[in-house]
Parts: sequence; structure tokens; C-alpha cells
Amino acid sequence: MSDLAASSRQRFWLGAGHILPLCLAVLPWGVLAGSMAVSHGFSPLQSIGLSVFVFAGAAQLVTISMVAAGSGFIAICLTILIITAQHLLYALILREHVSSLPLKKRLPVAFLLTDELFALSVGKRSYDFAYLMGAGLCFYLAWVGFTVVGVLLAASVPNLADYHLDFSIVATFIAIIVPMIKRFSSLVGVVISLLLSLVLSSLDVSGAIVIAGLVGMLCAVSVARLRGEAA
Amino acid sequence: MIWLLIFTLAGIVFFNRYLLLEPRLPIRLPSFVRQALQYSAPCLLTAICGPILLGTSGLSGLASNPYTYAALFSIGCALVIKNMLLSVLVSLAGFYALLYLLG
Repeated sequence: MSDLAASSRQRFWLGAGHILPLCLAVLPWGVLAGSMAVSHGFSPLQSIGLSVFVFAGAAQLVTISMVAAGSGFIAICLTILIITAQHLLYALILREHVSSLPLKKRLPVAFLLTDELFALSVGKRSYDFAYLMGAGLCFYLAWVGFTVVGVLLAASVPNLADYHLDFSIVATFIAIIVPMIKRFSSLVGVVISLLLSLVLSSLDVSGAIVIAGLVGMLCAVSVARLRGEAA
Repeated sequence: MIWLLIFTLAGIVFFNRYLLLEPRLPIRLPSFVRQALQYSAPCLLTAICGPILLGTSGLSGLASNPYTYAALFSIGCALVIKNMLLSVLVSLAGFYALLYLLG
């Protein structure tokens, strides 16, 4: 019994150690998530609440910019539902290992399931609950901590909005999107999403982002099927 | 209102994360949906950039908007620099240099 406990504690810390580099990589995004929220009218507590409860970097930045742009409640919810839909795929892939765990273990794994935790665990042949918890909790604490730093920074620097921090969202997203474009179909999807988003937003169509994204996705799949690209 | 939004979004994100970990759920997403999900990240992230690029200037202002040129520079950075973090830092430096030059 004590052997088992010791080894699961070891796997917990192993997971925490393995995710440390990924924690460092999200430092600027965490700070940004905190400072952007404050500079776009969220209270400090709400800004930290976003990280504590939603815990999804891209989704948080999108929420902040949509709230600032005056988007409606339903439009924001729909956008976040779709933008975090890649988690469905992560869960599908981790399902084999996680779905056999009891509910009280499945729930925390689900809450901590981020792009980074998925990236860390998917390549491993063996990962278990303790390993996932160590990595997931370590990443969670880092993310919330960086957000707090961002909030403090925003509070001490006046007129943060004048610094055009919103471009850092564009710069960050471009750095994420460009390496994702490996096939012609993705390029078509991205170009159509961009053009539609520009046109629909300039016409003040509500839900412009969701419509542009969905149409881009549909076009990408259609192109992939027409060209016979491997899935 | 903001708090209601935060908790609703937390529920939505958790739903997406948990749904397919539920063992009682029989899983067979239609292949078209699974294939479309692979494109959800690039397409939606791109769509989100649209309103930020437009800013207050509208479609006709895109050609004279520093955001447009900085975004093109960022694409170049992402293509050349394989490290994501470094690529963001360089493109931000380019953006602020451009703003400075424009006064």
C-alpha cells in the first residue's frame, strides 16, 4: 500500500516536472490574459475569475475582446463553444485511458484538460491519473499566477489601452495559426474565415466571428474531400 | 452580468472537455464533423482577428491601417521563425516600431 502511494506521488511530481517548460511558454499569454481583461473593463476579481474558472487561454482572450466589442451574450457563448471544440478531440483520444476511471477522477482530469496537458500526454505510452494531476495542477497554478501578475501590472500602468495591446492578440494568434496551415484545405479555410470576418464585422452582423469561422471550416472540409487529402 | 458570463463560459468549456470522457456516451461523431473540428482552431482564431484588424477604420481603412501591415509582418515572422514565442516577440517589436515611425 505504501509502495503504491509513494510511486503515485512520484508520478505526480514527474508530471509536474514535465509540464514546467510549457508553463514558461504561456507566461506572456497569462500576463496578457490578466492585463487585457483589466484594460477592457473587467474588474480585477473578474479578470482572475476568468482564469480560475474558464481556464482556457485563447477562449479567455476571445471573451475579453468580444465583450469589449459589445458582442451579445449568446454570440460569445456560441463562439466559445465552437472555439473550445478541439477539446472534444482531445477527450476522444484520452478516452481510452480516462473513461475507465471513477467519476471523482474523471471530473478533475476534464477540468485540467488543456492544449498543453493534451500535448504532454498524447505522445506518452503510459500516463495515469497521478501523472495527469501533477502536470495539470502545476499548469493551472502557473496560469492563475501569471494572470494575477497581469492584473497587478495593468493596475499600476495607467492608460494601458493606449498601448495597442490588442495587436498582441493578432500577433499571438498568427503565430499559432500559421504553423497549423500544413495543407491547402487549411489555407482555404483560413483565408475564407478572414475575408468573411472582415466583411461581416464591417457590416455589424452579430455573430460575424462564428459565421466566418464555421463557413471557413466547412469550405476547408469540402476542399479536403474534393482534393482527396488524407484526413 | 460579467460574472454570469464567466460561469456560463466555464460550464461550456468544461462540457467540451468532459463530454467524451463520459464512458456511458456512445461515441461516433459523423466523419464530416470530426474532419471539420480539425479546422476549428485555425479558422476561428483567424475570424477573431477580423474585428481587431478593422478597428474603427472599417474595410476602406484597411489599406492605411498599421495593424494590416503589422499582421502581414507577423505572418512572415511565423513562417521564418519556428519558435512561437520568439515569433510573437519579433512581430510585436515590428508593430511598435511601425507605430513609432508613423508618429
